Amino acid sequence: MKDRKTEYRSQKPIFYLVFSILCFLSSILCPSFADTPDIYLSITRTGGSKIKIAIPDFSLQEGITDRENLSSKGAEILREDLEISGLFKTIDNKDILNEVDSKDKKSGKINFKEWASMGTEAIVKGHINVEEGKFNIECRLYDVKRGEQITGYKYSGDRTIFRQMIHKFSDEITYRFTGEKGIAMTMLAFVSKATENKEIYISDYDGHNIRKLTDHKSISLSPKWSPDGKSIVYTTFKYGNPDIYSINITNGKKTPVSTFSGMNMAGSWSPDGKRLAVSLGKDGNAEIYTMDMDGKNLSRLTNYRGIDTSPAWSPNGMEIAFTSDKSGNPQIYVMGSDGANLRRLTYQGSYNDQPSWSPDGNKIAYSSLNSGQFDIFVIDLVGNSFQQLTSGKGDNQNPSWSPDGRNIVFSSNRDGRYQIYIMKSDGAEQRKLIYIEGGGYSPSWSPRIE
Amino acid sequence: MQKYNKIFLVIFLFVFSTTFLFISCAPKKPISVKPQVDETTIKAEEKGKQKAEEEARLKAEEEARLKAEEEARLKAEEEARLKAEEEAKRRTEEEAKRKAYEEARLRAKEEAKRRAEEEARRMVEEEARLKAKGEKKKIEEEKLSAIMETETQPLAARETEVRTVPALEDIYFDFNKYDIRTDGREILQRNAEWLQKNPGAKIQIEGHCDERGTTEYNLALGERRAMSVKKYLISLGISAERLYTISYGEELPIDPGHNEETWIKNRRGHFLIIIKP
Repeated sequence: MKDRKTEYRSQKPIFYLVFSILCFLSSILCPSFADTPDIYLSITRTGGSKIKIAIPDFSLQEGITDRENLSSKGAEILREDLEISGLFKTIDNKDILNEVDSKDKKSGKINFKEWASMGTEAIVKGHINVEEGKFNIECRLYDVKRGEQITGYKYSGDRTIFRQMIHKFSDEITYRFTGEKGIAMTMLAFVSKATENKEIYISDYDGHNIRKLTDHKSISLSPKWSPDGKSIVYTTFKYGNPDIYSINITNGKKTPVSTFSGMNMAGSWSPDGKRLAVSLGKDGNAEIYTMDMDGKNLSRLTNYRGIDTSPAWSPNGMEIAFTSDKSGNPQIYVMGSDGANLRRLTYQGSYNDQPSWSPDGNKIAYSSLNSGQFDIFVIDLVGNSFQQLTSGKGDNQNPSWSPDGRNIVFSSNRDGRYQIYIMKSDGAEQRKLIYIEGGGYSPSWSPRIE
Repeated sequence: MQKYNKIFLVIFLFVFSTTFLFISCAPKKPISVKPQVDETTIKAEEKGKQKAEEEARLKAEEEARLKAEEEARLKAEEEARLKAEEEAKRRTEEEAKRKAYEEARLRAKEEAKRRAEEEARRMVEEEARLKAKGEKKKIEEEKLSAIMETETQPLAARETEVRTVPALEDIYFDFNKYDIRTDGREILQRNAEWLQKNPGAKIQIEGHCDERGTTEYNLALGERRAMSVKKYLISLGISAERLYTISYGEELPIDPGHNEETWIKNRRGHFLIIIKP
């Protein structure tokens, strides 16, 4: 007994020594890990509060007549970006904005006190000049309380990327205040019948700058962005069978991906962009497969003599959500990406389809037939609850999350024809994002494009 | 032993107190810093910071400008190059594709012919055998149910010319269903008779859905419908090689209306005969 006590005593100090050295080291190291010097934290969001930011119309190089109204357009784009981000509240009284701004111009400096009296925490000032047909946009972000510039960038390019230059600064502002990358440079893909046939279109994330991507003059459906944002897979009837093709968005090059007899329906890319989860009809009924990007190395995940469709890969790559009619009507199921551990997710309603994972993998948005009309629901996988996001306004389908998880884009026929709509991920602020002759269907939100 | 213990204790106390000092002095996470730090310190820091920031900003501006210019130039060059390349590639690809299709078609044709001949021979033999046994009817019934149970694979009629024949009637389905209704069976019986009278004819079965439901699910449902029809026709003795299938989902409604009356018409199996190749 005595011996043991001595032994114990003699070890104790060594333990304390090691422990205190560890404490010592961690006290030195930890703060430097926590420190992220790029991010500006003088203004912080507490809870869900928004940062108040003033964006007066941009100033214009002297001697230029603003025929296209660029000075107000520039500020407008930035205001919209920051509003969509959900992190900022822009000062919307333009009269006051421009009045204070003109005082600044007269005095040649920024009267921070006056801005502060409007309750604004930050200001953005933009200046546009044109040089040999090229636009130069200078944007500066100021901290009102401290009366200093936080960051400033000058962007130049031709008129076609005017909006992008401002989107870029918007992402910079978001990053400065939150440490989170913005989404203003992301894009949307969707289907429209603006010409005689359904073709694939892309646009900026705010619905501007719509471009027709395919010209198959056939039926093209269900575009899905690759994780690197460089290409889109979709299904086309161009060659006499619903086949999956991939199109490079910069050069328009099309590559066949899956061309088995019967339906080939693109579902979802694996997060690493190496595999594609698809729904194939080649066995006589739709089954879920995964395959390489050239359609090879097929791996069959479902084996049920009914319909298995709409596979959606979870953000961590471990699971695949999909729709199956094995219960007698379409319901959403989740299985491992190897087909194991199948479990049913939806029990409410007789028609649930189009599962779409939130970027953090905690939620799945889907479309559900609800008293005769389709509405968008979100199921919380962590809290095991579900929430209805749309109601009483026509059919609402095809939810797709923004990469920051704050917005959901979807298609709705609430005003007659299907068009592309956007809402916050809790269903707030629903509005039409794109109006296009010929309708908008099956939107897919791109990842952040580097 | 006691002596060593004391030494350790002293070292421990020393290190612990130093640690404590460091922990208490170390900067906390910036997010929790309240702007209560000495005003002058901040200003002094800020001046240096401002200068550095200004320099960094100018540098960043210059870099951004150069990068943007370089990017624009590269983009223009790349675009011109890609356009030319794309055009050339597209042409060769189209040519290659046409050739591949042509070859595949010929191969498929030969294969189908061979199979059809084999099937015909087999059927003649079978029939002779059955006649001899005098139990044709019973066996045919068995065959029917067996076929509806087993899966058959879709056959795509790529690059073909098709046309409608008045003799081949459409059949209709219930909402979200793909089983053949009783009225559908009668129609398929008649369609099968036509196919037996026209043994050279190959047909394409189209599966269609009404506008309700999702694009993806309807494509699968339309395929299910086309395959149900195909299986039923096989059970009536039509060779699988004559039956091509395609699903158009909800994409080609026969009536663009938005009510039950039009939906009934749109949930259909439609028949076309393949005239080329």
